[in-house]
Amino acid sequence: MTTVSDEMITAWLDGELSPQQCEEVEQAVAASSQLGLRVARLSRMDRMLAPAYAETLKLPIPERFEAILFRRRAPVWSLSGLRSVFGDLLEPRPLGMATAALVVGVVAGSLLLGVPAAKPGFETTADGDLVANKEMGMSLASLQSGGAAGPQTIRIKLSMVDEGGNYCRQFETTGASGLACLDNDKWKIDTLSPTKATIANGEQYVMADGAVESAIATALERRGVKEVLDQSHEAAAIAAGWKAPQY
Amino acid sequence: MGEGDNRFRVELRSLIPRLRRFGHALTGSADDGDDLVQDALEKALSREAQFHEGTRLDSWMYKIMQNAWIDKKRSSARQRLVVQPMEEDTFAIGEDGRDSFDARINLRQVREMMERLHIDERSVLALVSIEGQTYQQAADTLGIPIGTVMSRLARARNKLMALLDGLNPAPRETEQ
Repeated sequence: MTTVSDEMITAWLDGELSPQQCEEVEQAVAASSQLGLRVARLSRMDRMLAPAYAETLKLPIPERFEAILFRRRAPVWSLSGLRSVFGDLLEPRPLGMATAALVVGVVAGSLLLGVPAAKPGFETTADGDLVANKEMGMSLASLQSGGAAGPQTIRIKLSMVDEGGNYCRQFETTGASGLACLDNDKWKIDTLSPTKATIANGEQYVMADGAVESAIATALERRGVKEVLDQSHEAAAIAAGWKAPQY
Repeated sequence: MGEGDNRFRVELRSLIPRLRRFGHALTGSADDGDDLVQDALEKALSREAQFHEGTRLDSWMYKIMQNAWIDKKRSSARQRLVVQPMEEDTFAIGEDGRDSFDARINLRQVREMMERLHIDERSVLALVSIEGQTYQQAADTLGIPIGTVMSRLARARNKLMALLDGLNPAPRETEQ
C-alpha cells in the first residue's frame, strides 16, 4: 500500500503537486477508506476557512483608513497637503508674473487666463460664467481619469468632491488645462489656463507648465477637497450621472 | 510620485477588504485586525520607495502585517495566553469515520480555533486557504522556503481539525 505524507495530502488539496505526485496520492486514497475519509474531512474543513472571514470583505472601508490614504481629515487641504498627495502634478516651480495674475484671478473667483470666450469646448452663460459646451460636457461626464476613448481631445486627470459636496474634475485639453465643477447640471469652469499641451486620442504630448498646475492647486485649495475619487468611486459616479454625492 | 503616488494609494485602498480579512484571521479579532491594517497602511506609505514595481503589493502588505503582528506579540504577555502549546500527537486526525464534520462546526468556532494555532501556522493557513496564495507566493510573503510552507500547512490543518473535533466530538461509527 502506498503511503503519503501529510505534506503531500495538503499539497494535493491545494493543487500544488505534479501530475505524477497527484497520481500517487490518488492511488493511496483509493486504496484506503480511512485515508479517503481523512482527506475528505480536511477538504471540508479547509473550505470553511474563507467563509469564516468572508463578512469582513463586505464591510465599508473605515474613514480612518481613507484619512490615512487621502488625508481627508483636514476640512480644507493646505497646498503642502495637496502636493503630498498629488506630487509633481502640483510641483511648485518659478511662476513669475503669471503667478500674480493667477492669484488675482483666484481671489476674484473664477479664473481665466488668456482664454478667449469663444474657445472650442466652452461657452459663456447669460450670467457670464464659462461652462463646458455640450460636447465637452459629455466628455467631462463620461470619461474616466487617465484615459479617453475615440478621437477625444480631452483627458481627465483626477476626479474629486469639494468641500461644498460638488464633483470636480481636473482636465487637460489641447491648449488649455483646468478644473471643472458640476454646478446645476453644468460643468462650470473654475479654472482654465492656456498650455502648450496637445491632447489627441486621450494622450498628452506636451506637458503642461508649472504655472498651470499651481493655478489648479490654488483652486483646489480654495474650494477644499473632501474626497479624491478612486477608480471604482469615479466609475460609480459616472454611472450615476454625477448625482450629488451622499455626505 | 505625483500620479504614481496617488495610484499607489488607490491600489492600497483597493486591497483594504482583503487586508482586513487577513488581519482578522491573523489576530483572531476584527478590531485587532483593523489596527494592524492601519499600522500597515502607515508603514506602507512611509516605505513606498522600498516597494518595487512588478512585485505584488498584496504580498508586500501581508508581509508588513505579519511582521508587525509578530513584533506586537513578542512584546506582549498575551502570546503565552493565546497560543497554547499542544503535544504533537494530539494533532493526529482521528480516523473514526466521521463524515458530518461541517454540519457540527459553525464558522465562529472555526475562527476561535484558528486563534489557537501558532502564529506561524495561522499565517500560512490564512495566506493559502483564505487569501488564495500559491505556495510560492506564501513562501515569498513570509520569507520561508516552500517546503516550510508545506509542513506548516499540514501541521496547521491537522491541529485545526483536532481542535474542532474536540469541540464537538462525534459519535463513533463503524469503520467500513
